[in-house]
Amino acid sequence: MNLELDDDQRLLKEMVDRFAEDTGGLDSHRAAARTAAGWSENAWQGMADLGLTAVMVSEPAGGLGGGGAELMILGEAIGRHLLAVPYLDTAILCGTALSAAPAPLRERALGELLDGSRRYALVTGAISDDEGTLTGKAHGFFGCGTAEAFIVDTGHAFYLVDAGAPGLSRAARPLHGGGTAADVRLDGVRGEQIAAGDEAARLRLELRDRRVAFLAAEALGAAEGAFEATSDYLKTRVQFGKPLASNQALQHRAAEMLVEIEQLRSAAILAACSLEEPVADERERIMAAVSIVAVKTGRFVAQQAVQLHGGIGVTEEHAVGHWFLRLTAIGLLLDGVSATRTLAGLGGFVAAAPYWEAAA
Amino acid sequence: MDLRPTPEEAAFRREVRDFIRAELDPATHRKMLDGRLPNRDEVVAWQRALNARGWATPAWPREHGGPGWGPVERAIFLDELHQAPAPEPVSFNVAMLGPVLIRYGTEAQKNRFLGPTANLDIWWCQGFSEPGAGSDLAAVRTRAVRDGDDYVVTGHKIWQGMAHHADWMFTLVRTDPTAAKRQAGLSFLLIDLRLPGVTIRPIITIDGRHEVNEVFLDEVRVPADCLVGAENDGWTVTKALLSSERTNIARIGMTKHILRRIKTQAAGDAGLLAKAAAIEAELRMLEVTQLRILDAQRRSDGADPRSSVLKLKGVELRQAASELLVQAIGPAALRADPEGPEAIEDAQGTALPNYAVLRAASIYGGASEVQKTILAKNVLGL
Repeated sequence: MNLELDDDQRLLKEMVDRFAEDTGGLDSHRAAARTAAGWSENAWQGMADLGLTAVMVSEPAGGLGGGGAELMILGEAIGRHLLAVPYLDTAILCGTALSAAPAPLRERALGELLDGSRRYALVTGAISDDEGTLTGKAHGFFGCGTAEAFIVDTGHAFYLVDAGAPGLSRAARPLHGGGTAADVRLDGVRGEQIAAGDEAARLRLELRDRRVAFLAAEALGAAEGAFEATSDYLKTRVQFGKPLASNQALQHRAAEMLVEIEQLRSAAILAACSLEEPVADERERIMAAVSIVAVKTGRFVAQQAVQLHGGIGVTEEHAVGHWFLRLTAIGLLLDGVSATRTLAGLGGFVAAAPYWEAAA
Repeated sequence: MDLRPTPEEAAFRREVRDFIRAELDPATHRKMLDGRLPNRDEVVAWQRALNARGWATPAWPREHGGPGWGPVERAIFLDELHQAPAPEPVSFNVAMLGPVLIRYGTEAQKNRFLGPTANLDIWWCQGFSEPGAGSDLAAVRTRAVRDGDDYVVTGHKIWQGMAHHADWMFTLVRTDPTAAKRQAGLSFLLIDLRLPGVTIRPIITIDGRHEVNEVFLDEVRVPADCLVGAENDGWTVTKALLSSERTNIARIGMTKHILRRIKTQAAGDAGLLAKAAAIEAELRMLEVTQLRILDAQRRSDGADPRSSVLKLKGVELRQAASELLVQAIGPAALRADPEGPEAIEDAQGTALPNYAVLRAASIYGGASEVQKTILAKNVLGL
């Protein structure tokens, strides 16, 4: 066991935290929500300029080859400071997928991703694939409304298609909590193959795990932000002639939030440490458990933060409402109900057999 | 960042498990698998087997017979006991009294008590709570008046776990009723339960078992050499006692054992297994929380206020698991026996009594409400 960051990771954390604090925050999050893209061009370009888009791209593909610790650093900062960027979708998911592409495609497409000049989004759906000619409907979340290129997961293979390709059309809409989603219709669109067969199956699991780990870290950051704001508010808001914090009922509620945040931090750390877990079933169990806990704790902290803020908590003028919506969005994306089914279906972590038989 | 055990930790876990498998009496093991309590003789035999191996006193320093383990080894050792499941070394002896005797006891007290305490030749019970002093421990009223070489002790203690098995009791008594601060008038006194004036009355708990007692002290003459620490400094000793070994209070291995019983009982029932999965997910994260605190303790061995998180969440999950086991059994769990749960033949008979009595886990050792107040004050500064 070793829970310390190494020197490089500490430096990265300092840089990311400082950037997120300077660039993010309530005002920029509100401004981003009013744009068509739903996220901040300025923040995204800033991340590209600092090289942060390359952190999670593999070293052979020209990235920094970041692992769980780096992913957690980024997710936590983005959640805490409400940084409105499509980091998960473009830098992590599309960056990871393009890292697996054949060399010429990889070099061209990744270069444009890393320098921030081209926006990518991942969409999935039941797509028929006739030797690279794609037909069907796909769907994706953040960044899909404004992406200039799509990575399409057909369920069998991954393809890169240009958003302006003949036969492609999309219907975009804004999302609660920021960003845009889109339904993408493909009608005989030519795609460039990134991965197929076993390689595609491996890539799909890698994307699943990185997505869970990032969202857990982002939820942690958002929960910490909401909690800190709540704790400050309890100490400063005076009602009935005394600070709210002098009420034991509210002290206990804050303590309950803290307990859940410690659990959420553990979930984010466990996910980050399990990206390389070699046993596939164990990795799936862990990601399901992380999802269950991140959804539960995130919902609890978000709801209590709003409740303890009183009326201001349900306005979009205060950061706590933004953290609430973001935690709600993460909860839906991680889908605690199906994660519970998955963990139960895999038999959970302990077997019915007595310990000595199971552990032999 | 890496959560995996080191090869040395994995080997240590294996060594502990192999020892328990080889040495634990199969009858004791069978009882515990079924959720039954081992009897006095079984607990004594097991503690002596551990003591012969040098493992009965995990947190004692090596010069006083401890194994020299760090916080991680201690946690692994207890986790293997809990999962086996096997009895823990009697906590009143080894987790509570031993460390404070080592820290505050005289040389004569250490020589007299430490060996028999480790070997369970003396079985200790605690004598803190009183009818008017529960969570508010500084309210104790039991009086100890110095008279020559003795203290004359009169009072009423309650919730003495296993006092009917015990030989001695460590107590908090009031030696200076005039002290300006309530805490300043208290002393820590060791009382031989065979002394004249001691009466032990059983309290039967809602599981039908006799585990706790009341102890009445009627002008009991306790030799003054049984005072630990200075007179009127008993609060310091007691605080040290209550803060020891707080990282192992999550009792994760015990909850895993209950989950195994649920899996057996609920096989094929998707609804129950989904509920079990929800508990397991939180328990997996609590393991990580415990590792994080242990990791911090390797670097600084102070009390970690996050220990309250382990107690709160650990108890919540253990209570939830015990409740789910009852649900999995259904109305059949209601079968009782006038002789107590140990008299019911099959393993299902212990589920409801154990669920019922486990409600006490969020009351003893710092009630959940007290833990929340500690967290709010220490961690949040509220």
